[in-house]
Amino acid sequence: MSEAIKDLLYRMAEDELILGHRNSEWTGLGPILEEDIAFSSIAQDQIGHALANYTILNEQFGEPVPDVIAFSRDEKQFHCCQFVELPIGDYAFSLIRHFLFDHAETIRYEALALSSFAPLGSLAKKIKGELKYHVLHGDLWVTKLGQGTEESHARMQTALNEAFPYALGMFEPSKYDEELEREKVTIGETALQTKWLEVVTPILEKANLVLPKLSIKDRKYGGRQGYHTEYLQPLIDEMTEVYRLDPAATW
Amino acid sequence: MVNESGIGYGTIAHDGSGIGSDANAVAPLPLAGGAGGGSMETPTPSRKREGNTRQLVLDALSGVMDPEIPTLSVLDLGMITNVEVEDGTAHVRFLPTFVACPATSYIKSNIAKALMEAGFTSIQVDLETEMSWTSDRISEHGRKLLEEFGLGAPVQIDGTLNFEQIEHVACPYCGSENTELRSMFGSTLCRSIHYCMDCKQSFERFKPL
Repeated sequence: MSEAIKDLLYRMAEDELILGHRNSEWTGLGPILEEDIAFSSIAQDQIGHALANYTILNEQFGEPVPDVIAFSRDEKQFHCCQFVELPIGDYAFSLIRHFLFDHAETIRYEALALSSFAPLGSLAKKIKGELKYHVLHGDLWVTKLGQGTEESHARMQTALNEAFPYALGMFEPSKYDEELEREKVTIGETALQTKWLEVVTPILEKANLVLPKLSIKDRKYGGRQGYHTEYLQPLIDEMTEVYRLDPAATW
Repeated sequence: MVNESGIGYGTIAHDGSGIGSDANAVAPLPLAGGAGGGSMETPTPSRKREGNTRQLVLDALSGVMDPEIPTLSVLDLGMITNVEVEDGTAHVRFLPTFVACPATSYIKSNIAKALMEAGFTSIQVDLETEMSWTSDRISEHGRKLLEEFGLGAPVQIDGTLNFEQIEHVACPYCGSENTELRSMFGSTLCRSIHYCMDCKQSFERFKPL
């Protein structure tokens, strides 16, 4: 059982760490001041959520301390989905990714709030309240820009077409799904994806955006097994640059 | 030394005059807010010096301020869930607000420092993991202090947060309800940005959570 929970914690922590790092790239560059602050705040939340998951790994399962886990591995050891690794692109892409990701996170943490694994259950109860601000922010801007001008609509639709195959990679099935579900730790990835589509589809419709038709082979799987895009290792190199100068330094 | 690394607890023990080991006090703090507080231990019968030593801890905690809102103490913010003095050790349970709040370890070490200055030689500050912090835990007094500081106060959410609660707030400067939400994210994780249509001021608000 502990292998299954560890795998789950790594997947969640790594999605949040990597996307948190990506979203922080908007700090100082956001299209308007409020959005600069919003993306920076969302990034800060995500890195905090990653830290909380890594802390459970450390305290409950004897894994290394969070900084060591986060900063001293290479891409093959990361369990994040490929979706979170992609560069920030234009603002439309970052916004669509934030919208799709935070709805998935909300559904994930709502299920985890009922978890039989108490440390994750109590963390999830706390995080799902914070995620409310993320999804309301995403919904607001996706709707506003989807319904906006011809150009804003076209940019959002293009971003959605690019993001969607990767977004499905958030729900790449795990060999532990059945065990996690049986032991009432959480619900499986397929069930999460179904709930997620039920939530995002009506909002996208309201924004006049259409989910692209995909075949099964278009789904971008592999991240959970350590198969990543060309973008992850450069991100890790940048993220760990200072840490690697002196891994034993006290801050 | 105080262990400041994330979840866990720190213990300070050093020589010095302070509270005698016969001082015993075990009693819960009143919860600041209504909903979302979770259960508390029931008070045990008073013993010798209970009132004194426990009050010393509370007095010390009332001087530990939030670094981002320096007029509000950890008590006003509902960040303390239990205070006990047992066999000369001051035990405090501390509940951080937002998961990613960067001030968590700083506040925790400030609590230990304040108790040391109040004369406790043995101090234990534990992170509360049994319950979640909610803005409903901010006391009435705390809400007043927020407004005096120039921040809108969060409304009671009673366990369910919706857009109306996030959007609606009275202006802390003129009291007008005619305000508009400008951004759900402000200068710190716990603040949103609003604008008052009457006194034409931008202001920040402590977010309901």
